[in-house]
Amino acid sequence: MLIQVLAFALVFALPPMKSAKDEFVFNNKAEVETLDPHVATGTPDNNIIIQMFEGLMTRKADWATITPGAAESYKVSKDGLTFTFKLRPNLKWSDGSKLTAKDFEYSFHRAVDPQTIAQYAYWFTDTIVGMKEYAAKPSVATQKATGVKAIDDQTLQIKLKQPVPYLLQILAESLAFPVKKDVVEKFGSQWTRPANIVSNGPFKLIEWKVAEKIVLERDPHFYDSANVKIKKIVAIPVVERQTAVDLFKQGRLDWSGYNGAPNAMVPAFKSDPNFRMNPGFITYLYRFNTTRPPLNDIRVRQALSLAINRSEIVEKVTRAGEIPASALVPSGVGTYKNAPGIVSADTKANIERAKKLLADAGFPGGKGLRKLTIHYNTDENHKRVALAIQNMWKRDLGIEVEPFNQEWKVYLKAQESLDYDISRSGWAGDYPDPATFLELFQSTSDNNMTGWKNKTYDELFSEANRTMDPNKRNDILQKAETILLDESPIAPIFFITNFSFIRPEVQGFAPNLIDRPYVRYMSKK
Amino acid sequence: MAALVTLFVIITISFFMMRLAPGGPFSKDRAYPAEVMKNIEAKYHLDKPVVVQYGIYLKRILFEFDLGPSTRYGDRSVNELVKSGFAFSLKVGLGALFFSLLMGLVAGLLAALNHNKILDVIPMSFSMVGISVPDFVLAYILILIFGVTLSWLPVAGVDQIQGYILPCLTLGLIYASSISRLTRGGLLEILGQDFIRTAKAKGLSSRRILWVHSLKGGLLPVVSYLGPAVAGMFTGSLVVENIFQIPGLGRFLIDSAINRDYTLSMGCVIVFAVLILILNLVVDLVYGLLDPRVSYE
Amino acid sequence: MTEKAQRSLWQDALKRLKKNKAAVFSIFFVMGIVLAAIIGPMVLPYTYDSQDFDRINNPPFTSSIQKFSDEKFVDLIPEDYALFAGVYWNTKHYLGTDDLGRDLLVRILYGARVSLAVGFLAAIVSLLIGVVYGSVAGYVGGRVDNIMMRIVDTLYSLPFMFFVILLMAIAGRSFYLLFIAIGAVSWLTTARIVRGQVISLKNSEFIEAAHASGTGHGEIIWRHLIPNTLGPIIVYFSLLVPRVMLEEAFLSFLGLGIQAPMSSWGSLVADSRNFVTLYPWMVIFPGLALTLTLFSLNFIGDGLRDALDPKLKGKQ
Repeated sequence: MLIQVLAFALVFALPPMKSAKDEFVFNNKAEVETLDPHVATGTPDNNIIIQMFEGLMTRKADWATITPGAAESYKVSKDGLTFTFKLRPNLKWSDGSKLTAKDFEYSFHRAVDPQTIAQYAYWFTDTIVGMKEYAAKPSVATQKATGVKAIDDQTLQIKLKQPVPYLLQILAESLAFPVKKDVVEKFGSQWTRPANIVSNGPFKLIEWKVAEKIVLERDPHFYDSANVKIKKIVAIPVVERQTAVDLFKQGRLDWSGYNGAPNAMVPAFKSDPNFRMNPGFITYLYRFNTTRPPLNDIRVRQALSLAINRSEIVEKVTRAGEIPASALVPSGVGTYKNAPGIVSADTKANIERAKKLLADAGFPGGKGLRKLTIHYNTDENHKRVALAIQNMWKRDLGIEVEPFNQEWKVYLKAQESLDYDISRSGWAGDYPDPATFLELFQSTSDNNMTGWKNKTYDELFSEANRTMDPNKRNDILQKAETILLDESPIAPIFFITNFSFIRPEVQGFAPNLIDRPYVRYMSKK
Repeated sequence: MAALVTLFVIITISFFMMRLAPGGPFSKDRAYPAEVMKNIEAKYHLDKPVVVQYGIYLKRILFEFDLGPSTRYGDRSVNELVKSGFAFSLKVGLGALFFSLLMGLVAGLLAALNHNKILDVIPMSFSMVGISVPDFVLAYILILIFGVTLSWLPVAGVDQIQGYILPCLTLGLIYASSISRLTRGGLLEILGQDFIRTAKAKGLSSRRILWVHSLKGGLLPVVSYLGPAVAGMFTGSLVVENIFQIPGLGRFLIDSAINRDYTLSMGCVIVFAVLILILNLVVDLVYGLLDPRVSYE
Repeated sequence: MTEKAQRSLWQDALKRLKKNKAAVFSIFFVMGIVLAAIIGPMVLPYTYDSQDFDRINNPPFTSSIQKFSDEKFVDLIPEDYALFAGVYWNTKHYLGTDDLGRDLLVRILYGARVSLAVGFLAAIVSLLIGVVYGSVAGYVGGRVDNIMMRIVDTLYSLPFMFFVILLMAIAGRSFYLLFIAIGAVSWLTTARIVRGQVISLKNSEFIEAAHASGTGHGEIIWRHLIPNTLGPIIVYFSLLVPRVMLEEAFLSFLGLGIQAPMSSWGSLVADSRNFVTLYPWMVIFPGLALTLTLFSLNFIGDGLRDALDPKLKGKQ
């Protein structure tokens, strides 16, 4: 009995572990699904992968700026179709072996190999010569015919099918990271284990305890290791946001993670000096099923979109610092300027216009419009937004809608098979380029899921993707966005704002559109 | 044995039910391109008819004890994930069992012996609290007191040993409440029964009556209750694992059901089932030992 | 037992019950809640889904209107509040509002309907199935018992949550599915306990006497075995209703409970858990309602148990 009491008391005496001076401990929000850079798709996966690997190009701490990575320079041919990359001398893998252009050649081909099952393989197969054919039938012959060649140990050449204005962006993404051939081939699906994995980035994987933590340590073989100040990274998957905040306040986390605080508490946290907010790269929107009457009538869709009081939602309902959205692409993407869209800043005028549109479409005062259903997946915030919009449409347009909560997979299936009236959605851009949003609504896109088809939109979009001049390209994309917003197959509602708690001692973690933590640029006071 | 048939039935029901539910492991909010989808389906045998998949799955578990690769956590096998999850749930379960038995039996005993007096009312009121308050509310209350206000214990996470105290206490209190009530109920039944009166008449001391005769019989309802209760404690209480960030079996089970991770969810179901079947056998044995009047047929 | 003797058994029980003050009080409390749940939403000026964006997160009372607005990031409308005994009381929404400006009192009363309905319906379903199943299995014994219990074991070994999630995914979300799913899983423990009791009692003297006097099996089960197992059954029922209500709350916690904007006490608590430090009344009042009702139900169960226990006859 006494021993039990003593043990109990001892347990209280142990102090909680706070993070050390040369460590960066952060909340990675969810258990990592895979650490294979070619297969990974989620944010938690990429947050770790970008610490361990580096591509030909890499990103600066602000995420938006591309800068030479493993390649120290590159040359472009006059027609813009051939890129020649010169690798830095003395590049090494984390096991000390030399990293050459041959490794990159292998990795690019491995990325599109059907056995690898890379979701973004189309980034290469759509753009680089011969990759589509290689992916369809990998062989020595088809590999020889692709546009990815190691000219020598230090030089990699990439031949494109047409001008690709976003090539450098792709080369900084994980699909283009190098993986070591003998490791991958020897260990198969186990190659990402800490005991087996070999990487080329500023940090290497030391420990990976499922659902507990991932530990990375500074890799001395990295060419720029002298400038990497943090020695150890610990990533903990904390799913509940309030828990992340509590852990931060206890001193165990340096960063509470991407959107690492409950939305409901954001107004309360705003005044906390350690709390920071910055514009994000996700659009919250409602999709309309344009194949189902009455939503096939553009006037009905426009009316519904106009009658959503976005400021009221952002100020009264969600209250997490979101920005009302009248366009699809979040602002702050380079020099891109959004199309103005149909939603003005004058709420009263919007509602008047909506009423008139609804009447023109044959539903004066909302009469005769059948009860529409809003599908949303299980989430507190989605529920509240849907309820608020239900109220707004009833109050201002006189129509009845029913918010309907569906289980995640059921909701996805309904959206994908166009078995819905209105479906709440969100979309995050892959890299800082407005095209990553606008590509969704091409008629051929699997992610369209609205049934909306517009030939001009498709043509404009393809043209934009062949235009190298950034200003001209932005103009074309803006024209496309104008068509999209005018025809309203979707109603954009707001842009997410990133928020989180960060220790004041942490330097060099620049707020960026996706709050990606590039630890190689960080240090602690 | 009958238990194996049960296991087989469970596996079959779960397998087919999972596939009946709409959506698969790879339907995501960002669609996979068609060619990639084809490759995924081939890799996980999802392109074959369901019955064939069932056959492949059965063969793999029976002959290789391999629960397959997780469809979501591509780098991990289900065997690994289940092992890791179960280890956590087991630790929490043992702690919870300890607390619940300690508090529940003592409270129930006190209450039964002091029927309708103050020592009956107080423990029973506490146990009322235990079963009336939802577990997540109880968890948040404990966190607010010990984690946030007093800062004695970590708010979540079991990377430190103290992290186990609150979840075990939460789970333990909940089960203790039921255990104390059942103990009290069972003991009161027994204490009033004929054969106890006979024993008293025979002149046996109260203590002996209590320990030898009544405790054995009185604990019968508790024993019946403990079977599934222990299984519940060991396989992870969903809420407790969720709130305290414990990567246990319960959390894996629910997440994999929602994400249609066929292999991982089947793995969890199997562990759960095996555990319960084993505990049932134990309960039956103990029941027989305790009740002097049960005749085995 | 003669008719007269049986009637006096129940009359005795009722007399004993009336003496149990806690149980009586609880019965009145529950009846009061049921009454309020039926009448309340009809007389109050708000419906459970009427939103008011000018009045979100309004407290039921506060010591200072300005201080509250500053600290809790909500703009209160001063005309809503009346000063009394140094405290500002909310005269428009007696229990305050939630995050969409809906009146909390109406939502709690409406939630009472849902929670109580689900709780009782599921528990009754569970009890009926469990008692019948368990007593038959225990009484008949042998291979039949074996098979019946094997079935129970199989069903037991299925993780409840897992199947509810899948069931709801396959069959869609509906109110009926909710309490059927909960009820269908809870009968198993009842059956086990009843069976256990029946087995213990099967060979006792008065059962043998009944056999000897030629009483039929059905009568034995109905007249002798079940009343004598009522003690633990009632204790178990008094654990069952609250447990079922908690299970519903848990399903709401996972987002699988009833559809918004309908609410049950459980979903009210689960929905507001993120606000508990800022706007605690959203969690406290529904939580209190849930807890007090469950308390009362438990007291009633206890009282019934003590009242019906034949061993205590004459001892009080």
